[in-house]
Amino acid sequence: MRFSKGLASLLGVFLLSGLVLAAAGPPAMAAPKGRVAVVFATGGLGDKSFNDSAMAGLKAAREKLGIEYQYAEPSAIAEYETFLTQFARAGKYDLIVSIGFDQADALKAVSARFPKEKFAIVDMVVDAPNVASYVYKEPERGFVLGMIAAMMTGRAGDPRINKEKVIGVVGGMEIPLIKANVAGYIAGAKYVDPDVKVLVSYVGGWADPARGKELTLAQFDQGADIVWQAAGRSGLGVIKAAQEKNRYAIGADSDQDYLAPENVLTNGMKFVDNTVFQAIQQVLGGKFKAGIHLLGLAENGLGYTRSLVPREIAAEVDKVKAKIVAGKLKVPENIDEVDKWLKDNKK
Amino acid sequence: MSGKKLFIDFAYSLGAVFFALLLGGVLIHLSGYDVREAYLSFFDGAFGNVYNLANTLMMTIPLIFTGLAVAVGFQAGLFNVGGEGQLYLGALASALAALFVRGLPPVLHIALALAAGALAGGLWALVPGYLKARTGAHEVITTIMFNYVGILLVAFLVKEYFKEPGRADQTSMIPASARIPELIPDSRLTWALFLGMLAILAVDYLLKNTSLGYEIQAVGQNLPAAEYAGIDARARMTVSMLLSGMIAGLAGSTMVLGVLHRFINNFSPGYGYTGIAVAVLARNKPWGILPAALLFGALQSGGMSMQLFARIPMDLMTLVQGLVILLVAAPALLEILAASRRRPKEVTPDGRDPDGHLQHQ
Repeated sequence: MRFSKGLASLLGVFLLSGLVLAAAGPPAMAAPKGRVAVVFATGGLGDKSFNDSAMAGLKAAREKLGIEYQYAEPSAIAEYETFLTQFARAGKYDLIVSIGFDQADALKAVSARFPKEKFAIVDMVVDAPNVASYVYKEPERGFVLGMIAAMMTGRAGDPRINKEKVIGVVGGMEIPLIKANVAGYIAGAKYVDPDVKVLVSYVGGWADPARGKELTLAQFDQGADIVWQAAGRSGLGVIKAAQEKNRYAIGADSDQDYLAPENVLTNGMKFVDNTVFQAIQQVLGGKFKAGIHLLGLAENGLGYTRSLVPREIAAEVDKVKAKIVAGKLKVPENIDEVDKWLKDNKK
Repeated sequence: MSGKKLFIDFAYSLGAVFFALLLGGVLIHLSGYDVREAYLSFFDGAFGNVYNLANTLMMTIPLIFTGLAVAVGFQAGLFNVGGEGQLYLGALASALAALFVRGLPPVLHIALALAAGALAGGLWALVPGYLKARTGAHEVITTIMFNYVGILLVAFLVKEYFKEPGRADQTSMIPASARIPELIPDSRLTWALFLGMLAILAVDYLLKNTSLGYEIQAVGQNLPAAEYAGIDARARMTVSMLLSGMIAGLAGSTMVLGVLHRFINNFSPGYGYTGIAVAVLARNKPWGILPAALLFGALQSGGMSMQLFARIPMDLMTLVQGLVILLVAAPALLEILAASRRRPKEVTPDGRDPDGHLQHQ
């Protein structure tokens, strides 16, 4: 028994010394212009993806809009509803935000129970009179990436580029969301160069990097030199393959440059930070609206990172992007529509 | 066990909890947070009002089952670490029984879904139990491995066959007739709490009042003596694993039928593993499971409100929980280890220790 207590106190001292270094107190705040509560997805902060990006949006809203925020990091799916209820019961928040699609059940239940509270959910639709759902115009993201890839594959003097005008995309699963991305990608590529060939493969799962890599290597063998991953964790294999064969990969959802700094050409981004910021801004401005808010390039909900994209290509892309933002160019949403769309929208 | 020993055990556990909270307070203070506010929000979050208490009890329910499952295994001298996998099997089986059997009245439908969950969890534990009894394959290894196989098997089944269209890997919502009714409206605290107590009562009765229970304990406490007395030790081990798995399966069932109302991949934050700590804290006594599970439920729900109202980050809160587990469970574990170290002296003529392991000396 004596031994165990000694061990415990030793461990305690060890933990203490680590904590003293890591510690930081909550900052003091003046009277806030509004109060926002956020329930993160179970991955928690530090996920280098949705949660961290949402947090950046919250911080921006604190600085620019003067709000005060409160957040919760659930460790289990069953905790979503508890946290949402806690926030709703407090009755002092102008907006309660759910991050991530798996909170839909909990938010549906809680929003019905607290009809006077205002809620928002990112990347999912919850049909309720007091919930604003923020989702993305997926094909627009694909379109921009398709343009970049098509312009790059024709470039000379880059060892990562081959002679063939072939690019590829590896999707996670053949579901409407991914197919919409792929439709945009094909349309974007053929919009800048009708001769470019686009290879499409599906992993059949979101967590299979080995198969993602295999499919990418197969696409490289067929002449592709730039492959976009729209495959979640399976997409890590796409980036790995590009690094090994010294080709280009395109990342998804968040900035994945750090995985292969020499081989990630760009990333198709979902700007969750902007989304959260806008949701807060709308509420503070008295413009809260339940229902679906579709965010695309125009709303700064989607975009791409400069990363390794040459300046002149980025300039070209931004010109077309401006057209989309201005509503002069509408990106097709289904793969079947792409051919007809290309005929109608010659560059 | 004498009343005095029981009291000492209880007092010791209580003291350890208190000391852990004290040490946690030091950590919170050193990290620059207000200890008073932290613990006030902790106790308020765990027991402060009806809703918070309901939340604590809601989080206690799965731990009652997983804790009891480990305790039942221990009674036969078996360490069932496979509660997590058995829980997932039980959860999916219950969800499927709720989804695909239609037209039953509520009580029957719930009973059927619970039975399906218990059966699935039990069968999943039966395999390691049988392997242990037949071949001596160590149950710690096999049940751990069966966790991975079970969780992935369930994930595969859901993704491939039972997935509701959409992005999340989950089944459709189960019909109202299969949902365990709430005790307090909108609290998600359901009658499953009493189901948990019933399970404790049943296990307690089994151990104290039946010959099967007596034989299971005989096998657990002294295998050679039990065999000498004519008890079929292999059969008793297998049965206790089956029981243990059934109870762990019910943990998943009550989550699906009472809280989530559908099966969702990865819904468990490790109820099966926390169950081990619960059982250790309860010294494997059935009625000890209730306060032990309540402690862990309170730590979780109190910790949630500490995060919300004292703005203490989740990491620090998890650390405090870890301290409680360390201080409360570690001495008990050491006692068990010390006891098992003393026991190998009783090696039988065929070279086995009381657990049936061959001794290499």
